[in-house]
Amino acid sequence: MKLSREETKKLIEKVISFSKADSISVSVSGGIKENIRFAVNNVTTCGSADTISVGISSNFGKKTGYIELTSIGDEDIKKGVQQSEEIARLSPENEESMPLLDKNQTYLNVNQYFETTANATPSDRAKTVSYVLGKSRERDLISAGYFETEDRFTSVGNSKGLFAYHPFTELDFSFTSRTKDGTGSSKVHRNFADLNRLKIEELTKTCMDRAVLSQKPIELKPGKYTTILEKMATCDMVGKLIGFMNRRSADEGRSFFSDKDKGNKIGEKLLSDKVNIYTDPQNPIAPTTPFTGEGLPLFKTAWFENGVLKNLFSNRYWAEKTNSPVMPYPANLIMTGTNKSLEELIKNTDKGVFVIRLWYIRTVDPQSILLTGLSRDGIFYIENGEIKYPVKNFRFNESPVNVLKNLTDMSKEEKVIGAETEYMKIIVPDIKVEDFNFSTLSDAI
Amino acid sequence: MQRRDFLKNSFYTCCGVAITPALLEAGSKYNRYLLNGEVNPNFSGSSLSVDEYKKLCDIAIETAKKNGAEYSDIRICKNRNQRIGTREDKVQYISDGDNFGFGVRVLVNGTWGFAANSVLNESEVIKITEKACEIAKANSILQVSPVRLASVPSYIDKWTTPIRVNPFDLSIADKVDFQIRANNIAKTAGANFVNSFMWFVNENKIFASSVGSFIEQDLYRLWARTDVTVIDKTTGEFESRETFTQPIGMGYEYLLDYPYEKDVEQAVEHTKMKLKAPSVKPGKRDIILHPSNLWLTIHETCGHPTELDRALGYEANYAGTSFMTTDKLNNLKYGSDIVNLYADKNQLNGLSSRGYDDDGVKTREWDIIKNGKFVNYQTTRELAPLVGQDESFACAYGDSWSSFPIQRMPNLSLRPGTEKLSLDELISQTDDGIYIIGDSSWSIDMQRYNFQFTGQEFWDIKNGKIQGMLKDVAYQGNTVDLWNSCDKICDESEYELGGSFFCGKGEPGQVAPVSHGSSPTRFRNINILNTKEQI
Repeated sequence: MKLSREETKKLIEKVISFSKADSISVSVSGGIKENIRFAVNNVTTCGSADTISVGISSNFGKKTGYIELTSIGDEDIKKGVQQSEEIARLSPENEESMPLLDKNQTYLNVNQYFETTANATPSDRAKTVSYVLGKSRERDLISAGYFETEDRFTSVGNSKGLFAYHPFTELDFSFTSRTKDGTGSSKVHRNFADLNRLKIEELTKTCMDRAVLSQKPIELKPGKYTTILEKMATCDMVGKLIGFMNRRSADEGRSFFSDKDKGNKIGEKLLSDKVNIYTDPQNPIAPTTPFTGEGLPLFKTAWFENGVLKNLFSNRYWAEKTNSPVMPYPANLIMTGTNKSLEELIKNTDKGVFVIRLWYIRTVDPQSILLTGLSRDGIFYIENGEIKYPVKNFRFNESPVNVLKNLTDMSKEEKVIGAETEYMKIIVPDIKVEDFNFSTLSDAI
Repeated sequence: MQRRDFLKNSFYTCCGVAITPALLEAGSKYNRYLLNGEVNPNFSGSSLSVDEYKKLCDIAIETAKKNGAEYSDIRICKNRNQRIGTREDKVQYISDGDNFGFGVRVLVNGTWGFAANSVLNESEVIKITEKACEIAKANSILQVSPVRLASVPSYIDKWTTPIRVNPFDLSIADKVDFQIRANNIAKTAGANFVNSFMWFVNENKIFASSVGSFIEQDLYRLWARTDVTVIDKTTGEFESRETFTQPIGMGYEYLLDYPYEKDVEQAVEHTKMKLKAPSVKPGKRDIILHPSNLWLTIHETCGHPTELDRALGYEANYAGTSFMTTDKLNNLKYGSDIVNLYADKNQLNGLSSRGYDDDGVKTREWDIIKNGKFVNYQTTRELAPLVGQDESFACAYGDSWSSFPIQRMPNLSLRPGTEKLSLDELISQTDDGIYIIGDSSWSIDMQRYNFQFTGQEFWDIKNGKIQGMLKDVAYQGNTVDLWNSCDKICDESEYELGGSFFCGKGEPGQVAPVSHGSSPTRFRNINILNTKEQI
């Protein structure tokens, strides 16, 4: 259910009017998501979901009760408010609970709503897919993919008069092309707020060229290689690293970012001085909701500057307790690149490996942020500045800290999606790193 | 807290089963099946009566027919999730909520259409059904091989998970007390940090189809766990362990019967041991996998590659494909002769156990790997005809009213050895091995062939005796070599279930709960890695 700013405000005020608690916080989100899926060069499933969700958090002192509703009739709301109050009364005190934010919050102005995306019809989506499948048949490939558009809003309000509302559109588009003999495969994945940013023809060509090029890979010995990570692979390395940057875990001594003497590593140079990573909710290519679930404003934040750790994310409780700044979990990540192209990175490489995507990435050792995972969707051997031949996939055992420490070059940054960091909008360059550790071969394609 | 945030914290470590035996119930834990028939008193999705739901279902099916559908079904679902989390002596979160709505699926010109809405009334049912038909028609321009469904009888039935204590009948305060007590035990035993959580799910759903079925189901499951961390102040190193509780298709009785406090104490004690334990020497060793570890290995190396949609390429863009392609059916020597892996959607306490799937097909048991040979896939009504079968194995599942039902993994388990063999006996027969308990990090490729798994505890076995603990262990290999190296499986007295709430698949992503049972099992000459040396 798509509600306007005014309708949402009224709904939140209504929820609050039923409250008998000391304070109450209400979040409302809703809208329509529609999708089409395809596989084996054919349409498979599809979907259209019209949803509304109301989260009610009632507080008695430091006791809190939370419930979620998916119906917004007066009786449902009344019952929901009562239920959250019952839970709150039954709950023990939470010493870490913080008072509600008041109405004096200033939010960044973010445009994340585009008619191009909001007005996309089932036929429009089918036509886009039809182009991809046409090319797939033409090039004798087998393709599978997904295309989703959404027209939604999110909002939060509380009994201290805070109210924030944000309408947004998003699209998610990806597909995989495989060669008929099953020995070649590649994938592209993008998401944008504005449908006009989706360059279907260019993406289709890139993906299908790579699928063909990756056919019949040759075995390369596992080991440490100079490696160029395509943006989709860089995306996972950067996204996974940021996931570990919780200030409390660091201060408490249970993280890579812990420091025995001063609590955490803020101010230390941990990565190559070429590395700059920041969050900016107003970035035009990766705009995000300008507030958190509790209504806290999001703002531009530096995480790494010239390889130096600048901030760790931290909630209001921990910030107050340690007298440090509140740092919301990053809504997006931007890693600054250069003006170089991917082709230039390859051209300047004597011997190395080029990886399109990573896959099934898991933490092996949280203390060193050692990750394991596989290469997927094309990996190639480079010699004398040229891609020589496709190689078999590898399993890697590597830490993003090492990767960004051993970084020697980058291309221009671009908005992409990795394999396992879909929940975050990330803009990254292709990166060239020394000594990337591939531990074993993997036969899968 | 959003589910996504929760997943970020906990997705990587689904829990397993206890080392201590006899946790579930007295008697054999193997081969007990549910009897159909215990019935939920009413569908509590909203204030409507069953007759009113029936009427709305009929309207959907009529509307679909009028709009050209050759098949249609409607699911009205209410999913309740209650979650409670604590940290040391503090409550971190308490949340409860219903997710109610309906979804209509239609087949027009051999092409699927699907639409869903959280508001249920006559006019919305008509609107949504028309929308599903409109989408099917729009998409049918792409259709090159129309969907054909395996036949199914019509059923009018009810089914409920057999539970003794409904978790939703207990107060939040009781559940918080339970956790704080466990956290205190951990702190007293010497843990520096301790977190606990409980998660209770009730899936209440009505399914009606143009075949004439009307099925009401009331499903329950829970997951509770305590995680302890101990820091060595002198080195700054830390180690963690989780309790061996597992997500399971049971009521609160699971937690009442489980030796929870003992497990927490042991978790702390063993974490301290782990900090002092020697780092493993890499090389080839025999491994004995406890069910709390093996469930995940079964899930990844047998569960996923035998999903027929994966094998056919339907999941190529996300989860991946499968090395077990259709030419390997009835040909591939998947494992040694003693390896029998079977699927069973009626298994007692299984997370994916239910009476009917979301195609309205009655659930059953069948063989996937028989005497080491690959003999069957997992199927739905749409998939079965694609391998020449005229009956579905009932694996369709949509995780919400708003999700299109796709093929999801059934409970898939390893049959215990037929000869009497206890875990102690198996250890005593092992010269040079590692006994691995609990699951932790894992990774496997997109065709489910090359893998790397770790665990919670690793015990060094020399000359038939446990010598002490090891750390930094991972085992690595490929699916077929692993299962062909299997030479001993303990008997049914050691059989236990492990499982996950979150098997991920599909686009948009859906999660499904699933269990995997096994007895401790030995694999010979497996490649052991040292995870610390890899960096």
